[in-house]
Amino acid sequence: MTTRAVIVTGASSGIGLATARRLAGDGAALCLVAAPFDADPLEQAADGLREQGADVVALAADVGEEATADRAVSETLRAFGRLDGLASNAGIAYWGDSVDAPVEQFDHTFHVNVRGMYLMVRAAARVMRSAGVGRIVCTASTASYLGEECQASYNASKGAVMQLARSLALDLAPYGVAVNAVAPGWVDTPANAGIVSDPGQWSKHRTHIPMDRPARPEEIAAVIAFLLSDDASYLCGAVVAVDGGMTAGFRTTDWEAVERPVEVRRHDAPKAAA
Amino acid sequence: MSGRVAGKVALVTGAGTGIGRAACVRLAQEGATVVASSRTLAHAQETAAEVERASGAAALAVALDVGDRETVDRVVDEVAGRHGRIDIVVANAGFTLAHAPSLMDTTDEEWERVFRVNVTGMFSTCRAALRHMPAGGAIVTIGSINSFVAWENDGAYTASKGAVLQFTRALALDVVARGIRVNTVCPGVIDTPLTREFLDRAEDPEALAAEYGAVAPMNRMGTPEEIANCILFLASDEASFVTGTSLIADGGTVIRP
Repeated sequence: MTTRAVIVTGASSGIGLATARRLAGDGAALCLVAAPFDADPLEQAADGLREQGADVVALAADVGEEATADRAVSETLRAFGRLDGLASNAGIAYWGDSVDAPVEQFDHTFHVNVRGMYLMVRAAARVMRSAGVGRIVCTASTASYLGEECQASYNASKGAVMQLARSLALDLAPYGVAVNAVAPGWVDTPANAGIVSDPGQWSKHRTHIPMDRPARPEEIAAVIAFLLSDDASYLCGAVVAVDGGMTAGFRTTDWEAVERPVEVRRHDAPKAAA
Repeated sequence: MSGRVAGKVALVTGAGTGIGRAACVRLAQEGATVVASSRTLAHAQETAAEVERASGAAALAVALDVGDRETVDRVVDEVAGRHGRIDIVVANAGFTLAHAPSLMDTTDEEWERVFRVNVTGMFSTCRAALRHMPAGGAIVTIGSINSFVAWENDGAYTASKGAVLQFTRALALDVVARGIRVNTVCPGVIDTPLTREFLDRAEDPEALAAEYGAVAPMNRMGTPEEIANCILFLASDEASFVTGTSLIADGGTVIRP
């Protein structure tokens, strides 16, 4: 018997896939959503979970399109007769000089990360609001509140995700629907594999992480599972950093190892008036 | 033994009532060996009895005034000696000035007493316990929404809870290489026996309780059990990549003006 039905977006890899596996292990029925270009890994993920005995439907579609969210919700209701949770996790990132980047990268980032987040949460919330119960978790990022070189579009989009989560939390609290956010730091996902597994590149980032390692996707999934559970019943609009201590402050940062993308020009203090 | 903190030894301060007592119960229900400490031994003993009723496991009750720094080391050493180690600390002991003085009307003694318990007591407890804490250990401090926003006529408490937040971050960095995590739970207005005592002094306690609840967008006070669930999560291995973080459990109070 299905005790809980949850939609997970960005479910074909990384945090989304780990979340799907975790929730399936906890007995939830799942609607997995991933981008059309990830249709194959999405099917593999769905098949893998079905082999473990989970009830799974899968939908390969762009979360930035309004029809996708509506389809995910209606598929979930059709298959499982209920919708209890949403892990709105789909996100993309471009890396590169922010001044010269084509504006299409900004638009695409916001299309998926912000518009997709808004549409997905809204569609799920309509059902949950009527039911008077439901739990939603948005994947924000430490980039929601920290700046980072060559990540202007991504960081702006994640800042927007954090504020979406907070504001939608206020709008939905009166209806018994909880919205919270998880803010992962560096995670060892396929999308980050090129950086994490390259000692040269990783040395630039590891120095900021007191735990001196990236998270495993399962460690983010565990926090999402907590936020989707009744154990988080008094959280509302909370943004939970899961970052190995990165936003707590500075450890003994090895500044020599921090390579900047451009040479840092010294900004001299203004001359005192004579 | 099964459970989310199975086999761990957990020391909880301020365990005589409210959030501390609920934390003892939840940790014990999830397999921890609990040491309930309170300034008043009888209160710790009541908690130990409650733990046994709720979990079937015995809990140790000890008298510990965290504001008395000479005794903190001795009592924590005794606890560690008895159980061999301390894996989890819930540094929960804290209080505010019930008569709610403005900062202008707060005396030196009042200010120092709030900081002695809420800040110095937390520091002494954590430092003492860390001498006995193996890798995989976890410390959970109790901040407040006052760690982020101020409250009128609660200045000493607000300043002390701001200190709790930054202490938590600083300690997280100092012990990360030992494989120990440090986080803080920041509750909003919680319906504890102490809150009730305060409400009961009002002309219309239920009206004031409703007013307290309305501070939160969720339109109710939180329960000690809800905070205990957050403490349990941060204390457990489920939170293995979470350190130096504040978990705000306030029904949404601080995210709106």
